[in-house]
Amino acid sequence: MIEILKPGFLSLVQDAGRKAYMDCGVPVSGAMDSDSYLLANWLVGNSLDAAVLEVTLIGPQILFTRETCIGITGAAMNATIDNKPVTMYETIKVSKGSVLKFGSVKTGCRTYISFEGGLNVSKELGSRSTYVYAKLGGVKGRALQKGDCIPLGKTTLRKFRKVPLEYHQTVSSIIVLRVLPSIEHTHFEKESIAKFYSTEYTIGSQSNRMGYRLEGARLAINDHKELVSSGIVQGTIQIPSNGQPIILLSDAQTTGGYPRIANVIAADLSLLAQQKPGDRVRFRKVSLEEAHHLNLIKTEKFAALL
Amino acid sequence: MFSVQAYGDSAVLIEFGTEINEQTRLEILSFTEQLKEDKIEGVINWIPAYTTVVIVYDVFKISFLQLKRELEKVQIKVQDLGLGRLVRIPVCYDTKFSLDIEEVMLQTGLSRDEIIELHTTPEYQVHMLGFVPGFFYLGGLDTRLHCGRKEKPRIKIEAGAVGIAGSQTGVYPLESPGGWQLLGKTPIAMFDKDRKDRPFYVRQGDRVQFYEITLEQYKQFNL
Repeated sequence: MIEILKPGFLSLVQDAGRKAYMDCGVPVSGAMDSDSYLLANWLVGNSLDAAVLEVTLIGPQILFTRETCIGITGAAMNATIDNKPVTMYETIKVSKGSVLKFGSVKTGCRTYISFEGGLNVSKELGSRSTYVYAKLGGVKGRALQKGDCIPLGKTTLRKFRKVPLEYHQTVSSIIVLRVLPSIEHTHFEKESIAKFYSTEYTIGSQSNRMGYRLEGARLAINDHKELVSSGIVQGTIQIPSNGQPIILLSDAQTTGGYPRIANVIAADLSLLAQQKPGDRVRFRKVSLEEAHHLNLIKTEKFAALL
Repeated sequence: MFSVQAYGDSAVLIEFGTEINEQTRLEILSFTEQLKEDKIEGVINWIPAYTTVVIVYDVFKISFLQLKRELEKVQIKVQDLGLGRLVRIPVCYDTKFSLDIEEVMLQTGLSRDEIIELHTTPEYQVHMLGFVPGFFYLGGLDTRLHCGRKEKPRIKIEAGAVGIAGSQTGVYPLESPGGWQLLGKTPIAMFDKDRKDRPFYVRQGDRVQFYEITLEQYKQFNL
């Protein structure tokens, strides 16, 4: 069992997501930075779809009521156990009665904390992921609060592991995202397309797990007829009437009616999840073949370790 | 017929038409019924909508071109579709819940009783689910009930509120903001994760009919 002494800014139980009910309007949810999520579970010998904590901007304080192992990946938040600094990206042994504390993030946005055996909250609609809007998953369908106690699953194997450096998530306040032109790409004015690929956008303060609102060059559409609502997927960049892009992420609704200019490739979604308000992104166009190739390289790299 | 195009690197979008109509709805329903049977390797899930179906796939199990070929082989058999389950939804149109009925009376020139009568008469078709878990988009609202959205959307609408706007009618499954004109409220949860056999009260392919209940019946409904 772990007990939350301080919840931090936004701490959520997340797993690999809820993919079975997209046709009923249920977002996928799940860990935003799936690379760091997988590595965290690997560090403690969990199955790769076990539930972990995703903590955003300011980390929590956690009391351990039993001896266990944990792993910390993603953005650095000055983690300490009993006030002694601990190393990320390697298996950490924790004694009964110890307290894990975090500070706030400097670069990056989200830290992942895995626990040996996984966070054993009950599955709802096939997943433990928290989706706050519909009060689904996690602890009572909400962000963690002071005093929450979460049981841990069955202990698996206790083996020290260390993630090689080349797997550590890159966190930077400026990134380039590779994108594919999307469904309504041709509806946009030529100059708007040019601006989209040549200028920098800032992550706005209204960004969250549903989507990142970007601020920058205004994008305009040629033809202003209203679109019929259609299914949408993670990574879609849609342009509402104010011309400022929104990148749809884990908790995004499953349907929408704004024109879609581009889609961030799957291989870059984890990198994007580490951006926070004030950080900047640029977009670079790739082909579908390149996107699949980049995805393959990345998946093979992870498969070699996990 | 339909066309298949890439939508990002992990999904495809299939377009069945550009306008909302009954034929397109039936084609999409037949197509997704067929998908359930065919179980194409690598297809993770799909999102049917008014005129499109988005399919999420695993590129390590099926390539885009293979998937496109498989999808183009799917046979649409609208004639084989059954009538669909009829879901009857009780609605209390009492003044306690019909917060915008006077505005609708003004916009449509209809009386309160006429509005309720026109709203409860049709069998609506479910075109799609989306927006929030369990929200269904219905077709078939009587044209005499077509009216504008609220000029100022509400910040908070209670779960179960039944409303109309434009050519649409539906039920808010969760407390949410919204701009529809509210006519009443249903005591049945349209989304309930703990109702294990039926978390979503209405699904794609269903027919929906509203029927009127009194405030007394509403209060007793969940007793």
